Amino acid sequence: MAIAPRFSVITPVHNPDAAVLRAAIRSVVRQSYTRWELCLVDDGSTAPHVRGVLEAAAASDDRIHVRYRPESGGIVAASNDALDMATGEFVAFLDHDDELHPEAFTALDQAIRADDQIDYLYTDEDKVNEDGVRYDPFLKPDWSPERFRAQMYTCHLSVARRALVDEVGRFRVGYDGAQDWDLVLRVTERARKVEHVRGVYYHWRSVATSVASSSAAKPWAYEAARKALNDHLERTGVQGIVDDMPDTPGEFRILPALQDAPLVSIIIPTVGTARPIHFTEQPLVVNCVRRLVERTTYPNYEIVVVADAPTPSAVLEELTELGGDRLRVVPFDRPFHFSEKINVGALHARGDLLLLLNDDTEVASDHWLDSLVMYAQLPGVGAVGAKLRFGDGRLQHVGIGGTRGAPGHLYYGFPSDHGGYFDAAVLPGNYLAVTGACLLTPRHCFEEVGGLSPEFPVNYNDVDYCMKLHAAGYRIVYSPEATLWHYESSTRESGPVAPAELELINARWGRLLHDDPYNHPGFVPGQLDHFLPPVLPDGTILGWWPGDGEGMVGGAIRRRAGVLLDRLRGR
Amino acid sequence: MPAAPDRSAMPPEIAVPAPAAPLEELRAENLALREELLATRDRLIGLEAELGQALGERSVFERRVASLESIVNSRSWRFASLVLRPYRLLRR
Repeated sequence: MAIAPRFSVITPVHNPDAAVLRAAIRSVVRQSYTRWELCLVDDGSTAPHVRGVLEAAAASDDRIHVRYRPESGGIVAASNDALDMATGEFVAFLDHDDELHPEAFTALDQAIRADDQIDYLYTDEDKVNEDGVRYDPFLKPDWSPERFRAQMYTCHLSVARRALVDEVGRFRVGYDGAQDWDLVLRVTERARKVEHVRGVYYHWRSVATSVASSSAAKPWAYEAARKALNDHLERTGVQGIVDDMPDTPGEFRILPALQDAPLVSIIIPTVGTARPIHFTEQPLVVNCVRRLVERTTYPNYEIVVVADAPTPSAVLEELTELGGDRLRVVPFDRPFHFSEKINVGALHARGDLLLLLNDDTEVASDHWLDSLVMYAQLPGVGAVGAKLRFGDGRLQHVGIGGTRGAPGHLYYGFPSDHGGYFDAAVLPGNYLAVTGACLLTPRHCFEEVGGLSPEFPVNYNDVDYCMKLHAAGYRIVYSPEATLWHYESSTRESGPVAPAELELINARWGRLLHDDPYNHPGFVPGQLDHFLPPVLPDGTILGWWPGDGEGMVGGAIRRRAGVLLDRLRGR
Repeated sequence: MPAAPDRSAMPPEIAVPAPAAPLEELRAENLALREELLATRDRLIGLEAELGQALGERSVFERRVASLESIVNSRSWRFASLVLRPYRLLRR
């Protein structure tokens, strides 16, 4: 976009405290970027001070426009009235008691000017209490459609191209409380590109009755959200149903309700190792197949066991008995090579979906495969992974991220009930990679990227595979509804990763591993646990951003310098 | 019906002792022992899960400590602390 865009700030107003309303208006007026307009619609406020504040604001700046509704029509009606007033190319949504960071529009402008395909943008956010203290920053992942179906994580600050908002029909009546989630679902379904602008540019005021302070403050909002999500599933053809998350009100999970059940080929490489599982010595692969056959509700699958030559014949016989017609054994007589074994198994597989499964896993939920298939059938999804836990319950896998050139498991070894940063471990989402211990992938994707790379015989073959998919434009999904036990590295001697493999994965995918789109640079650098650096004892805000990634201060300086340079160049 | 073997004629190492209790009692005892074994196994699994929970929590704390140490030792943190020191003193 050659010309800097104008942002129309949409703010419905209903009986706010005078001081916080003034603060909200002031936060817009103080933007370093000047091409904005503020569209305030008073939704029949009964508090006498509101009109005075609005009139004073409108008189102070000709970019502030005010309209008064004679009676309250609710947030949807008021927001749509404000949209009527908007003339900017982009609309930004600001609640009447929240505040913007002074650099918010400058940062957004830079993103939009860098890519004119962007139709929807969102920033990071934090909360501000009644004493003005900022806390609880939410440093978000880049666009993650699977997570967005479970959590309205883009929330504030949301900015959308006005033409697209008009095209999708603006805010809808009957969705009060979740009208923003409903709108953004419809916008992102049609958006050419969604952009995450990193930086805390929105401060959500937390008062006693606000959603920001309590998840139970607006129960009707959850009902509206459920409705909006069900509409979205219907529009986009997701074969699932919306269900409440048991412990986190306002967040949802999508349970599979499959109408199609394509053949899934479950490829299990094994050498027939036995070891104690819950104090009972048994061949791992037998335990794996037995539990798989017992618990899996998905109707259409076959099992392809790729067995090394030393696999005991008694084990193979037991497997054949357990699997019946569903199971085939493919012999493999070369040295241990995970990638080769999987590629050989894929050649013998007949299904449209391939599931890579380690023999040291055990199914722990009945609908695990249904959940994986539901995501694998979505357009643009290249691989789906499951939630894996050690035998003692600790988390083994809830997605793989990149940091400083090395891939790693998020929340590895954390307790089973650990929810992760803003519930990341218990919600579905998109990640750089998922583990090959349980990975479902469409066959066409597997063939498109050439299967697993033989350069990685032991480690990182799964990460490399997911990176290849990522580079080809596919999304990698983590599904927490599919849970398995993983008695990790029982089938071979575990040890440190070979330096050559780490070097190779870094040489191939270093850029992504250094700048993981789903792992915000504001977290402690070099770690994947989403720990935030502490705020200094005196509350110095720089404490959040001492990392090597671009921080708030560094980013602001860089952007201001960019604006000054633009002005000097006469643009 | 064959005649009962003469136990006194058998060598002592293979002599079969007469059952101390009726067969039904032994079966019941066997069942009870198996139940106890399973219950003990379940308790062990429960203890293993509790241990896992504790280990997981320790893991969280250890990684948190490692995070803090890496921050405190980082050049950017030391630099920021140094630069902001006058500001902090002023605020106090």
